Amino acid sequence: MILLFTMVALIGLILINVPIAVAIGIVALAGLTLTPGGATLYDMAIALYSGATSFPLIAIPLFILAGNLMNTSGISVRLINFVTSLIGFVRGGLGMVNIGVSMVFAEISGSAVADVAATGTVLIPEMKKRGYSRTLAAAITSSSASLAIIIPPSIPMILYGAIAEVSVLKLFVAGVVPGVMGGALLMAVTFVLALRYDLPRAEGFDLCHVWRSFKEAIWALMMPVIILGGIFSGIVTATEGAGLAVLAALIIGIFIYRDLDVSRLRKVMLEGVNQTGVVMLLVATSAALGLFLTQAQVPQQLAQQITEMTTNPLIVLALLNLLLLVLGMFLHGAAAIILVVPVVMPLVNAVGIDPIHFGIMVTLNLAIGQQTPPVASVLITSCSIAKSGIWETSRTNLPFIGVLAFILLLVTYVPQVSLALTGYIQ
Amino acid sequence: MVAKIEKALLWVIETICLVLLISLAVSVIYSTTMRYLGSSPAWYDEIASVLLAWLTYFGATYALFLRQHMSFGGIVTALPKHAAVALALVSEFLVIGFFAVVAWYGNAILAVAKWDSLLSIRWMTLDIVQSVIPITAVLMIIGTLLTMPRALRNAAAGIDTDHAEIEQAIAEAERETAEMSRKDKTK
Repeated sequence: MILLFTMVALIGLILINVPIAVAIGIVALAGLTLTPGGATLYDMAIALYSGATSFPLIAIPLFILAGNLMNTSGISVRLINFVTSLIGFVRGGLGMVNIGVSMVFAEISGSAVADVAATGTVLIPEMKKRGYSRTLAAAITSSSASLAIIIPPSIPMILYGAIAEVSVLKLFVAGVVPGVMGGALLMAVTFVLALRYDLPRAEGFDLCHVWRSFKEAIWALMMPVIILGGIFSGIVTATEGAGLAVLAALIIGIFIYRDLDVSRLRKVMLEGVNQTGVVMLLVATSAALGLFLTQAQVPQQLAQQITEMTTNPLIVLALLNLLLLVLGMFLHGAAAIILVVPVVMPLVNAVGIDPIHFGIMVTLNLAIGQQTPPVASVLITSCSIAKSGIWETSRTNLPFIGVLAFILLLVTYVPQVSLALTGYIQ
Repeated sequence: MVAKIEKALLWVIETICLVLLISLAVSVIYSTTMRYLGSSPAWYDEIASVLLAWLTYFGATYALFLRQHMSFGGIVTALPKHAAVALALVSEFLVIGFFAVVAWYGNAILAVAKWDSLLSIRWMTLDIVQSVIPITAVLMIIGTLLTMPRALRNAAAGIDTDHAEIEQAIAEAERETAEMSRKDKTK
């Protein structure tokens, strides 16, 4: 009953355009005032502060800043040039380049819109020029950028790790195999469509050109090596890796590519501040909502009611997938994680689902949610760049969404796909 | 006059945000370096967490002044003009009401917080640290009031801010790409 009241109130507030973070806060405020219990509005004020001090979340503003620096300092453009010279000779190569680059760059900066805008504005016009239909160019960009949510580093994963209290490093590692498999399948679909629509090769293979673009891109290629190499090898923690990423992006942008000056740097930092404020206010107000829900025993009651019906993890996983898919259609990724994860974690633990496994499931569901209107910021951004209709693009996007759904089912019912590599982490 | 106040306040908030972001980045990089040199700073965990909280609330204030918090404006913008404006007004007053409560209770807890301090910097009492909640709550009320006419105009004109944000991001990325290719040509 309380969960129903919470959901109806939240949806009502969101529909009348109250910012989601504030809507969460208002529901928490009303809940704490109207229901009997120990917690008061003084506790809410304390929760609003302490909710924003979670140590693992320090990685968020730093990854956001590093991502914005990479977008602005020409790193993504140089990477695009290099990958095009390398695989542009394959039929549908430009689409594959798009998938490869999107997967590396999207979701780093925390603003899927800014990331897709950075790579999409370069690649989509080029794809259209070479005979790709508008809808296909938008669909490839959109689906690959969404899959990037499970390719580390990923802000949603850091959020999930902090809320579910699991290792962010293990989440990053768990995302690698499904991410690479998904990327390969998206490329395979692109190749099939390229044959069907007789799409051209991007350019002929020229070893000299590959070498030239490699020399240009070598520092851009160092970024993922520095970030992921450092984190996966245990040299640095995820937060320290984020700090190093900022330092590396600054050095590359200012001293090597020389695309960053003071005014650009200021603008990039303010964009980072803005995106951090948006995500972190959600985290803070959800701490207040958590206070209310915990006091009302909502997560525990939900777990009890569902486990009374079934304790079969396969059925529970199917139910959770359904819930997340529906929520993903109406909520932005970060908001969905922040709202759902604290409520369903007791259930997840009760039926013995590995929280790392569940984390990858959650993020994949949100990837699909980003492809499905009405709230589909990544799809809408891609469509805006390609100047294609959302519904026509959605039709073209179906095989790519099919790939994402297939990976989701694989991850859901074959836990080893995500968990196998985590065994190697201490 | 209102525009001048908004601009001045925004400049102050921007400056505070930049100082906080740079401090956070520097403290993480410094602590990582010192860990490898064998002397991790004792203050790191605590100070970095405080910096994150301050960055959260000043960043959220900045985003509020720019009206860029996540929201779903699809329904309101699809309504007839008068209904859209009425709902937008309700939404604005709910935001103001929420931050008024947060400011009130955020200020009330400072009286208790002043008896405790940070572990790594003993003179820094918790009322100073937690004062970010009432300060930014008041700033967010001011920000909502200052930008309310713009929000109501958008609601009346049926402009969805989510879409406007996307268009802006694309325009900026296109500008960046054009500038970069111009630079490459001149090199």
